[in-house]
Amino acid sequence: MEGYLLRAHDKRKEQVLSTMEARCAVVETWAEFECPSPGTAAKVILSGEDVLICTGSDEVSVFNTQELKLTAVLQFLSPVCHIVLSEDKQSVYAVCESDGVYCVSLPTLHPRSPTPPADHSPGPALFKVSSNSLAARDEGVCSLIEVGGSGGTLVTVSLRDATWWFTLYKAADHQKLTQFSLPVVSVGHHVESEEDGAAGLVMRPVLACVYSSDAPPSSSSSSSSSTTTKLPPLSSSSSSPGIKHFLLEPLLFKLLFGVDAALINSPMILCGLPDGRLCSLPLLLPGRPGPHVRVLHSMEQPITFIGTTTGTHDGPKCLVAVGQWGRVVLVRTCEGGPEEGGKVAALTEGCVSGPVVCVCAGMEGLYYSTGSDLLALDLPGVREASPKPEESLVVGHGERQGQGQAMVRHRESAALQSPVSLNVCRVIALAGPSHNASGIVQLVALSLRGRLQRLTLPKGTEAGGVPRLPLSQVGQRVRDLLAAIGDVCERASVLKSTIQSKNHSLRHLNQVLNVCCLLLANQNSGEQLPVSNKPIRCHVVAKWSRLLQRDSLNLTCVLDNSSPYVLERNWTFCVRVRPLSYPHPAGGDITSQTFSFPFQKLEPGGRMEVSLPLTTAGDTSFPVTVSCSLTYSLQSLLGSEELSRLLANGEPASRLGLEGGWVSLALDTLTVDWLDTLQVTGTTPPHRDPNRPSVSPDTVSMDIVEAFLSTRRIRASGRGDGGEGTVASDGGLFSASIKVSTELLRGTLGLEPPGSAGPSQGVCGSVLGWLLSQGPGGEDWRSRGDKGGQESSVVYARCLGRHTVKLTAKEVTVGDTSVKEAVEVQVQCSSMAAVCGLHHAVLSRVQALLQGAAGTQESSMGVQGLCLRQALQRAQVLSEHLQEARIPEAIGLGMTTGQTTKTLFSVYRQLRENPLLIL
Amino acid sequence: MSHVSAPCLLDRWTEENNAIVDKWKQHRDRGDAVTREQGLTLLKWCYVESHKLLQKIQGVLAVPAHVQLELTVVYNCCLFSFSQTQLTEAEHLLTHSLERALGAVGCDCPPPNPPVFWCTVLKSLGSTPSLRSCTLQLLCLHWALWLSTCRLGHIQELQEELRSLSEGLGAGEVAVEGGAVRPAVLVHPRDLKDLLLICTVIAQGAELLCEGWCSEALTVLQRDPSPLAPRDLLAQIHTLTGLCLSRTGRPHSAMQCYRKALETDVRCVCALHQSILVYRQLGNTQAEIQALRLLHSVLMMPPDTQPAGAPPIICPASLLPGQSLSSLLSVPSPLSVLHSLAQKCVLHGSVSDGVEHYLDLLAALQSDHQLSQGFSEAPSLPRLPELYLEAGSSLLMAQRPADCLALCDEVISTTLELLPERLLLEEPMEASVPVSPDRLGLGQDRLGVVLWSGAAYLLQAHCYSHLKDWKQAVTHYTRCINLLMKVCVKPKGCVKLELGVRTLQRLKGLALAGRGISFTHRDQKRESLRDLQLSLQAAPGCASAGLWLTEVLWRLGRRQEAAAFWEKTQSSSTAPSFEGVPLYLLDPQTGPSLDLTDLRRRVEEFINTRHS
Repeated sequence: MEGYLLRAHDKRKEQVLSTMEARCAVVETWAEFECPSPGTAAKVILSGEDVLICTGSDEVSVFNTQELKLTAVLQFLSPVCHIVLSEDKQSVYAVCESDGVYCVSLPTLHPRSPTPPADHSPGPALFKVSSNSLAARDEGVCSLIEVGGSGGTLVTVSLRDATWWFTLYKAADHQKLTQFSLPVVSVGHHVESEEDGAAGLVMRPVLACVYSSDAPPSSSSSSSSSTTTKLPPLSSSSSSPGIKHFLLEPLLFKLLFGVDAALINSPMILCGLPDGRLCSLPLLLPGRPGPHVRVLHSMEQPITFIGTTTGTHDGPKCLVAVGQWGRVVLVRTCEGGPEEGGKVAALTEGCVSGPVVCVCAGMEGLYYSTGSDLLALDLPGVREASPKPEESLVVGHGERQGQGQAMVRHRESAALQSPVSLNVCRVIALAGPSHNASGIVQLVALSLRGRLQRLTLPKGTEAGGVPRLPLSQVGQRVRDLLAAIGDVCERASVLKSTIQSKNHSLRHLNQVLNVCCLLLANQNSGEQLPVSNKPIRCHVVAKWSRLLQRDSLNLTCVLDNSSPYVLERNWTFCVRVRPLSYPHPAGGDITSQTFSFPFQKLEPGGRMEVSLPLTTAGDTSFPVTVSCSLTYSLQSLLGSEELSRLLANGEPASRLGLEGGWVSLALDTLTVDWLDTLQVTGTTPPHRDPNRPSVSPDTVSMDIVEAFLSTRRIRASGRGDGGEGTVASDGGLFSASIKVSTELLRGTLGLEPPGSAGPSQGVCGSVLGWLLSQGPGGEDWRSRGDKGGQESSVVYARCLGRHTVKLTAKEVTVGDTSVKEAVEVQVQCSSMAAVCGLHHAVLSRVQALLQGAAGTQESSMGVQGLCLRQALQRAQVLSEHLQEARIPEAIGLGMTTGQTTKTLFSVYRQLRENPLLIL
Repeated sequence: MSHVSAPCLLDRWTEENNAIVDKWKQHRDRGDAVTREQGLTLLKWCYVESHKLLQKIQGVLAVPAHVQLELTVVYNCCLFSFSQTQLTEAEHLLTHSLERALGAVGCDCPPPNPPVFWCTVLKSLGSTPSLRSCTLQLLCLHWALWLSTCRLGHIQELQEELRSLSEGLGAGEVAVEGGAVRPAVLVHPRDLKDLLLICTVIAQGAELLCEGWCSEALTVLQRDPSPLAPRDLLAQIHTLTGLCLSRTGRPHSAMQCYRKALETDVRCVCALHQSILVYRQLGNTQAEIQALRLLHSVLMMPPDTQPAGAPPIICPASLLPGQSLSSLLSVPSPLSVLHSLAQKCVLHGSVSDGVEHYLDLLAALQSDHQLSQGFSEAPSLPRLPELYLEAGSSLLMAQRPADCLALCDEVISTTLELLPERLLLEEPMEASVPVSPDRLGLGQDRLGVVLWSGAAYLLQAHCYSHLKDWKQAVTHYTRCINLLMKVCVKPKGCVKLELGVRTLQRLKGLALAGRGISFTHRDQKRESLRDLQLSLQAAPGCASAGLWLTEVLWRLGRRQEAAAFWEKTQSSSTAPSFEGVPLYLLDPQTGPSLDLTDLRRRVEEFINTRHS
């Protein structure tokens, strides 16, 4: 007992709301009881706030739906197999297997008068029902019903000696009034009950009480003055669920039960027997000839339910009986045949899929459980007018013979709408329905496992489909529905667009991955791949442009997309410009500039040209490295949250090389050096104003060395040595030269051998051309080159800082023993920085050339050796010079700084006089 | 072992038995102090306990020393079983125990055929004085079982043995007197025997009466009954004797018996009922009305309060379950009695009393108090609409047309929706009957509905003509006629007309006559003449129609025809019998009066002058 109570207390709320919310009832478990033993009919009865639960044990529980707790337990002497609430809800009748019928007054279970704190006592009250409460001692009672409250009548149905006995008792003192009998047709009751026991079905007669809806409230109410809370039995059974008394349209009532019953407003007891017979028994008709219990119809299967819908006001126009195997019989009025006219009662038969375990009537339909599902069945013709006679089957054996069975079947299928599943399984007892404030239908159910549940049906699936609304609410309802449709549309379109964007993203990602693979394969397979073979490649051209009196150097990057993929939005072309060697600033940061250019759409085979300001003249130290890369931002594709989630996952992202959501793929790294920045002016010295210093006045930043040099030059001119122009022009020029073996040049540049072509001028011109063309400025020079078409061996150009540079290439012979032909490239400029830069640039070009042509010449070894010796000697001399220059300073003698500098500079110059020949 | 402990066990079992019996007797003697429910519970407890005891006793081998105790316990036990209506169980127990007893004394088992069985038992056990008494007790018990299962044949066959019971039972008692502790019995066998004897007389008499052997029944019934027998049983014997006499054509002697029965037991309603039938037979209406009134008041008395304490172990009702007896002694339901009373009152003078009775009847029908008055399948009430119409016509007779109108309205409104458009009847109507009851509704009412509705319109029209509202009267007569015209009877040449069809024709005749008379008062003589002639065609027996036709013809100046018609009606003055015709189909007695003497004078003057 204790444990059981505890279990009942352990109420859990579980809300099962499936995705198909429109069709699913919300199941809320209130309490758990013992599993109803198979073979007993479990029952729940809703009485106001209380639910009475009978599971076939010897206890009947009373559960309060407001406090959600078990308030009382009635303990009987033997197992209770059936309970029925009295019409006034004041007492409950229980049929016990071995005793008979007990009657327990409910108000005694609810001692409302005691102080409220007493109600908070934890456990439910236990009432032991003694044999004093025995109302009728009849062990064969199967079913019972009470009509007319405490002043009314109790009708029991019992099976004894192959006869159904209908016994009437006074409800007040349980005095036996009279008895009627009906012979059993097929004694299949017990056999069937054993079979059905497995399915949890117990067939017992179903009793219902019918009133004509125009009858005044039951006359018996006058005789029961004690019950003040008594509901009139006719106040539509929807308000008093649990009591199986219902009203019927007067005409149908008269047609079914006769004028006599209608005249005295006799309540009719309807009984559905397990053998399928539907019987009626008038409660108040003494004088009728013939048997009292009249068989109206035979369903040919055990009857589970008799009743009507509760919705209509002027009395339901339809009587419903449901058989255990799903046969549904609707009894309605319809027009009589053409020969007689008038109205007749007619049957419409239909079928739903069985077994029908329990049924309760809703407003315009039925709710029934098959054990595996709960269904709502709309009853046709409840709202519509009565059926046409040809649609329904007027039951008369004579007529039935004439009709084919197929005809009947056809009607059956047409008679009922298909039930709507509510997706609640294992319901074995139902009570209700009740309607909450917002019109939502709620049922109380008992599951096969003994769980007491409240089922909240989704709006609109009330049995009967669309609930009937007052006109005033129709407009509102339509608006609601339209709004709901709008919401759904919106949601659908959102989902659609999400799908589209996901598809889009996937397609993009596919492209991105393809591009990544392509480029990474290139990187891995090696740098050896010639530039021209790269699927995505870029090259850089430096161009001078003059804007607002200022010359500026612009770098033009051209990206060639020869891959089969489109570079779309979210790809960015990044160009990073960084000085190759630059004095580290104090902060230690390498100043580099990154320019990014997002792609719009670059089709395969297309090219993109971007230009970026490299510098205004002279503020950048050359050479610079230009690194080109393609980057892809995942953020723009995935959105920030998804990206952060992806990155938070860590591993896969980092494996992809995604730092910060960027994919970066290096394309090329190019160098822009002094040669590239040259502006070729021609092969003759540019006209210049001799007084005007070659240094552009608007040069902002000047090399420290240059500043020093210019001061020195001014001082020199200040000394007044005469012939300043030449001195200035000659003495002010710095020069550097590189000697490269002609043979090497010829070989690598693809020039003709000396014998075949006449002038050596050709080699020198080609070398200059090569030097200038390799860089960005090459084409420039060619187009502006010598008008005569002859390649010149001298080129004048303007370099950064607007200094004029003279590039000379001439053929020289090197060495005394083995004369070697060589080309000397000389750089002459007034700016030392320019000379240095150009020298470096030429050297690096030649180096690159040498790398390409390494090891082609073996005969140069001797020359090399010779040169090395000379170089060594020169280095020794220079070392001595340096020592000399340093001695006075070391010994503290007052030698002028000018002299020291001069000495040092001459050493530098001699050092620059590179005697080395590049072979 | 058992031999050693036997005395001890015997005592203990005897004590146990006596304890149970004492408990029951104490309870019985306490009377009102306990409720009936408690009595039933105790009875059940005793039943269970005694069976337990018997199981203990029968658990050991039957020993001669135990037989007396065992048989006494079996007697008590079977009585308890009897009280729980476990008759087969009791009988099984009885025979089984007797077989055990026979085995104990070393006799063979007799065949199960009861007479042979008992002869053997009495021979073998009854010879022992100590066992004779308890054997006879069990014979009594078996007698009771036969009686309550209507096996009168066995009783007949063992007549001799049963008759000798009285001496045996007395002797046994004396013989046992000497014993120390005697096992107590629940009911003294002699009391039981007396009860059984009178019940047997009643059962046999009723059986014979039902089979038509009235004189044989009379001889059985006239055996001297014990004067100590219960009053109700004695009254039953008197009633049955009366029945025999009345069936053999001696109503006055029968009346004597009924009176004796009523003197013996006031509640013997069936004697009262039977005397009513005799009065009716004798045509003594006033006495019949008196008796009916008395019967009704007796029936309406609250039923005997249940004996507060325990029900008796054996009640006469359980010994007399026979169908024949209950059918002989059946009494109509109070409502039915009330109806007869009302009808008789209205027909025989005291209309106002009759009206009151009708109204009481209707009120009783509306309330559910009738339930407590018990149902009876015996002479039933007419159909309720007919009852309403009867009440209505009695109201009209009592000069209460407004109430009559209201009642008729109720009938009309109830039947209105059920009226068929057309109704085709084929005579004989039996042919059409089988189809109708199969209908889900009440197909057999289809003619009834038309007739009730028509009669209600007719009564209303009568009311209006009583009120001299001729226009309304014509309207309602017309409604009635239109309704009746929907029924088409296809005659098949039957001589005897069906009740329904006769009613239909009578209604038609009355309605047409009524309309004709109303037309006369509206001075529409032609229409009046047509309707009256049609009325006489439809239903020849309508007396007032004939008179009014003469009057109308006279007024129209067709004196020749009037005189001829007058002579015709006078010559065929054999008034048609109105037996069994409902009240509402009688000629209206409150309608417009025709100065009959004046008409007679005029017509006869005319005839005389013509003859002269």
